[in-house]
Amino acid sequence: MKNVITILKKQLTDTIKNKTVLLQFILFPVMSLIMENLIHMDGMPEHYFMILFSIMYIGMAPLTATAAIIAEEKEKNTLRVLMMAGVKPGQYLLGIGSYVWVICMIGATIMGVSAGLSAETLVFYYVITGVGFLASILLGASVGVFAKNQMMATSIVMPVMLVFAFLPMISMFNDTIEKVAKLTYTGQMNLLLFDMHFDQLCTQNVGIIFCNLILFAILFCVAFKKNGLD
Amino acid sequence: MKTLNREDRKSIGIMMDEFGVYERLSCYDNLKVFADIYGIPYYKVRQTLSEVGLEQAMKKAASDLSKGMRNRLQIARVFMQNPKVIFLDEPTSGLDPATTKSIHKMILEKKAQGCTIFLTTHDMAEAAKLCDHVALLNEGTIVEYGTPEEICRRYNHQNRLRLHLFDGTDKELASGAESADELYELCKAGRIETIHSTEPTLETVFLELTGRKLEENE
Repeated sequence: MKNVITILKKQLTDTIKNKTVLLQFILFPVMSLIMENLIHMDGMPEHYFMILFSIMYIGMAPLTATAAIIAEEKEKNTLRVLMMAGVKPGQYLLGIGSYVWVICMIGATIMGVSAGLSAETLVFYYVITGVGFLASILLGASVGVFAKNQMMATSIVMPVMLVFAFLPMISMFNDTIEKVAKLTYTGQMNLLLFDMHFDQLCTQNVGIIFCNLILFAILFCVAFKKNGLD
Repeated sequence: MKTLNREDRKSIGIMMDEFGVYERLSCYDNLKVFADIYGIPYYKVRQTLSEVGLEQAMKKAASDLSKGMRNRLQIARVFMQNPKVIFLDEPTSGLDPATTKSIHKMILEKKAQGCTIFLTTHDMAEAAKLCDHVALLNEGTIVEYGTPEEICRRYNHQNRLRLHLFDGTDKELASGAESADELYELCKAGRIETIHSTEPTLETVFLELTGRKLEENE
């Protein structure tokens, strides 16, 4: 546990100085804050911009941040130093994962609170975004572990990120894309966030999100078994 | 390494050229990460940084350090945990003579404190200066082992004396009884400006050992 906290602390210190990662964490909450408060149109669904940016946030920030952090540590051989100092791969990944999750949850709080969600809907929003961040972190970690360096990680993350972050948005313009988007966790979360009540949760929503999680966990295990961490 | 516990790992320090530092973190924060892992109090971080001459650069980001300072930061990371066994891989590679000297001083201090240090280097003068025992490697095999003096003596095939005389000429004499009279006469006449034995250095021994192998292969 001590090592997990050390990794978390290290990453927090690093983030303040890492503008690229910092921007990913604050961009969408800030955009949501501005758009929610500035733009109101007749017939626009409630909390439209908050939902829009939340889905983008889920599909982009944790995915790219996790992959970038792990790939950078591998490329610069700092990860090897940590391993030699006795930090176990599980502790490192847990440290990075919890750091990204906590930061993203803070971002989600800013988005939820600034949109004026009620206590009940805020809890629902937390559950959905929390699970979404977890799925993206798993996927990002798979890419980070699989990639040999930062450039390779970026090349893999970009198309993956575009699919999960933007497919739910594009799905409203095309039926075929909508069918595909419904198979993704972000697609299901997009549907759920437009009516934030626990009552609307059905086997299909939960099942698809759960299947996505399992798939990402398998991907991570395969990448880890193939490449390890150092 | 898997069977080593935290205390074992703490007693082993490894510095390799390829090991990185956290570029965006300051020197202090870089060491703080490892102080947390090893359970070392923070005052030791400051102390170690001043020991390696990085006190002024404590708040400087590692990305802003010169190669020599970066090497010293890596050495500080190793020294901070007070290891009993230290592995150093080319600690002075590509550094200026002043930085090299300061790193040598640090290594000798650790040696004097009783640390066992395994130093990998291509610089034979560095090996002769810092090491009690040297193993010369060629194609992954130890081709010679011993104290630097022993090794040099072992390959002193020529066993001659090289003289430089005041009249500008050089002279070589066999280092034995047969040259005693001539040497005595030159000394007596005050003609000798410098006198050296021709015993080899570690570098010439290394070249002899590896060079001969290359010739054999040809």
